[in-house]
Amino acid sequence: MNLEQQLAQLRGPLLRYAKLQLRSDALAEDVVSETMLAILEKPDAYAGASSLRTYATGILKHKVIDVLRRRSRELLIEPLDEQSIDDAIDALFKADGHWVDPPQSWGAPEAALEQREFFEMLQRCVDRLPARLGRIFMMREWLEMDVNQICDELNVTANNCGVMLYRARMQLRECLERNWFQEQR
Amino acid sequence: MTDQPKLTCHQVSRILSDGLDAELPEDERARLRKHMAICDACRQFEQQMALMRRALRGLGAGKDDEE
Repeated sequence: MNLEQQLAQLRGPLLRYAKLQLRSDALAEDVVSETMLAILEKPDAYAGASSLRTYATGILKHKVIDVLRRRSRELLIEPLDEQSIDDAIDALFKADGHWVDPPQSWGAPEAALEQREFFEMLQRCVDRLPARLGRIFMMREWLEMDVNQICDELNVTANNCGVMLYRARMQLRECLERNWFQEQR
Repeated sequence: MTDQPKLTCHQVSRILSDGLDAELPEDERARLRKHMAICDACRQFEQQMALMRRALRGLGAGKDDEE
């Protein structure tokens, strides 16, 4: 299979991640096309050191960051969704601050990280996050942007960023616990 | 010298999250260490946060079909 054919197979997953970050089909199509073009224009740059998917994802991430920087900031107000998450987080703890259900071991991480089904569940859990939380969370955890960068891009305070990342992590943790790790025990 | 109040698990969950994004102040780190030394639940939580980060950074970087 030549490089072009391999890239054609990757188009679906790349598009999916771009849509998750950009929340725009048109922009996602653009960045994925640019990514594929960048690889095809310089085939020697992909020396086969990593998987093509890893290489393409790396280029895609940079292009997504560029779009996020260029695009005017959107203000998404979802107080109800985020309030629900705050209520859900509070419900995890007793009045004295102890866990209602203390977290139990998730076992050896390698076991989960080697299963495609785990990543599919992880994706579904991420997709359930409210749009604003999901965007900030993925900017931090998938694009690996610095928190200060994220705050500047989205015009939110550092404290607000921290609150949103906390909400997203707690929500994601609960989702994985209920839908994956509890069933593995 | 007055001891600072002990952290609750609820507070620790937020501090551990903050610690994933920036260095925590020394006094907070000290209080966190004391709590983590005696709280298995929060130690598990910390490991779960670390696993989530590893998993998310690997999202999309799967193996090619031909590998």
